[in-house]
Amino acid sequence: MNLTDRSQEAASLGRPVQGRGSRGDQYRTILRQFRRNRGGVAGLLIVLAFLLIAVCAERLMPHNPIQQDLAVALQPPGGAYLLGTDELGRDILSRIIMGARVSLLMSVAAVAGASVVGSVLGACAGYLGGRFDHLVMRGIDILLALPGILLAITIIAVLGVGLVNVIVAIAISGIPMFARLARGAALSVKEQEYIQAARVLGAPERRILTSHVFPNILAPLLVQATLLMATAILTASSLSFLGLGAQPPTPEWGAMLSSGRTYLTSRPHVGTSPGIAVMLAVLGFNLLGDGLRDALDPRLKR
Amino acid sequence: MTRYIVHRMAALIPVLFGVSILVFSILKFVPGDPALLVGGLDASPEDLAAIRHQMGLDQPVPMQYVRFLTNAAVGDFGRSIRSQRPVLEELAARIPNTVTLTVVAMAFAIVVGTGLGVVAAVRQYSLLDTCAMALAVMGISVPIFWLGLMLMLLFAVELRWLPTAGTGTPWHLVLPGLTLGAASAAIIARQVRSAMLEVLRQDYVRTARAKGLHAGNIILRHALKNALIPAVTIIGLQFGYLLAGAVVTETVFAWPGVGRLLVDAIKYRDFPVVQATILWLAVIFSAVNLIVDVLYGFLDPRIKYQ
Repeated sequence: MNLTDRSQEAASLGRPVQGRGSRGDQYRTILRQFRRNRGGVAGLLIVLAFLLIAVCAERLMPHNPIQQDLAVALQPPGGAYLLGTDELGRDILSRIIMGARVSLLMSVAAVAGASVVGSVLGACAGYLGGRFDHLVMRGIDILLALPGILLAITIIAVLGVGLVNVIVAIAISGIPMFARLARGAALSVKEQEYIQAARVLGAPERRILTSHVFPNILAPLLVQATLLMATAILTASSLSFLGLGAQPPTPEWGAMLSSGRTYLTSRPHVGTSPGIAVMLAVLGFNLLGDGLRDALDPRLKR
Repeated sequence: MTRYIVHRMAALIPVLFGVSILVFSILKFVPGDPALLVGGLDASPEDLAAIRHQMGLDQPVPMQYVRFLTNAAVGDFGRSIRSQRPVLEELAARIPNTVTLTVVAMAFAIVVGTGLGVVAAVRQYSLLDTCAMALAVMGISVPIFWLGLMLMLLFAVELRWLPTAGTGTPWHLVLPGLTLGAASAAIIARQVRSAMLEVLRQDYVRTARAKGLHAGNIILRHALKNALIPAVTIIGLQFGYLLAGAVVTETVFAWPGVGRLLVDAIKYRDFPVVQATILWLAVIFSAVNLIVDVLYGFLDPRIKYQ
C-alpha cells in the first residue's frame, strides 16, 4: 500500500503539471489505479457482459421468451432448454436474456433521471443558496423520511402499479443522494479562487455552473451513478417480485421468481437462475462502483 | 443537549407534514372513485353519495387534507376496505411482528457484521480478509427475496431443520431474520473494517502495543470501542433499511407484519391501510434516526451539538 502511494506521488511530482498534458496524465493515473483493482476489473467485465446480452438479446435467445407451450412445462435444465422451462413451458434462458434488457433499460432510465434531476437540483441549490437551497433541501428531507425501497413503494402507491411507474419511483428515490452530493461539492467549489476569478471576469452564472462547477463534481457523481445502478436493479426486481412492478408476461427477473414461486419446492430451477442473474448484475455494478471510487479518489483507497 | 433534541424534533415537523401530504395524495391519485372502492360495485348512487359525504369527499381538497390530518393525529385512519375493521386495529396487530423480525435481523447483522469487520481489519490483506470482503459484497448484491427462497429451499424443504414460513415458535424467526439481516451485516462489516483500519493506525494503539498489552485486549478495548462510534450511524441507518427490507422478507416468509400488510393493501387498493402504514413507517424511521443522532453524542463526548 505504501509502495503504490509512493509511486503515485512520484508520478504526479515527476511530470510538469500544465495544460492538456496533465489532464491526460490524470486519466492515465486513474486508469492504472483502476486496473490494479481486481474487483473493479471483474465488475467492469460483468457489466460489459450484461450490456452485450441486453443489446444482442434477439440473437442470443434460443427460444421465444413469451411463447407458451404447456406440453414442455417445468422441464428440468438440459437438452433443448439449457436452464429448463417455467410453469407455462417458456424457455427460462431466453427469458433471462430478455430480462437483462428489461432490467438494464429500467435501471439506466431510472439512474439517468435521478442523476440529472438530482445533481442539477443539488448543484443549483448549493451554488445559488438562499431560499431556493432551503426549499430543495426540505423537499429532499421529505424524500429521505422513507428509507430504501419504501419510498419507491409509496410512489407506486400514488402512481399505480406498472413498469414505467417503477422507473419513476426509483428515479425519485435516487434524487436525494445525487442532490446532497452535488450540493456539497458545489458549496466547496463555490469558494475556490478560479470560480471567483470567472465571476470577476464577468462569466454568467449558468456558464460557471456548467463549465466550472459540474466538471469538478463529475467523479463522485459517476461513482454514485454506478452504485445506484446496482440498487436500481435490486429495487426494480424486488418491486416486480412483490407484484408492484413489471407484469406478466414481461420477462423480468423478479417477476419470474414471483410467478415460479409456487413450483419452487418441487422444481427449484424455476427460481434459481433468475435470482442468480439479478445477483450477478448487481454484483457487477457494485464491484465496478467500488473500483471506480478507489481509482478516482486515492484518499479512500484501501 | 436538550436544546439540540428539541431543535431536531421541531425540524421533524415539516418533514412529517410533507410525508402526510404525500400519503394524503395516495387517495387523490387512486384511479376512479374512492367511494366506489369503499361501497363496492353494486352500491346505489344514494349509497355512494352518502359514502362520499361521510368520507368528506364532497368537500374542497384542502379541507379534505385538514380532515385527514386531524383524524390521523388521533390515530383514526378509517376502516380497511378489505376487512372492514378499523385500520389502526389492523396495523396494531401487525406492528409487534415486524418489530420482532427487525430486532432479530438487527442483532444478527450487528454480531456478524462487527465480527467479520474486526477479523478482516486485524488480518488485513490475508485470505480471511479477502473472503470476508467478498462475502460482504455478495451480501449487498443478493436480492432479499431470492436469498430468502434459497434459504427456505435448503434449510426447510431439503434438510427440514427449520419451518418454511409463518409464525409461532422462535424457530420461525431464524430464516426471515437471517434473510433480512444479511445485507445489513455486509454493510456493517465493510464499515467496521475501514473504521478499525483507521483506529489501528492511531498512536494510542501503538502505545498500547508498546506497553505490551495483550493483542486481544488492544483490539477489543482500545480499537473496537473507538471504531464502533462511526459504526453507530451506519447501524442506525440500517434500522430503516431493515424496516424497508421487511416488506420483501415478510412477503417471502408469509410473516404477518406491517410490510406484508402494505403490499397486500396496495394490490387491493385498500388506501386507508396504505396511508396509515406508510405514515407509521415514516414516523418510526424519523424517530429512530433522531435517537441514533442523540446516542452518537453520548458515545463520543467530542461531538458538540449546536
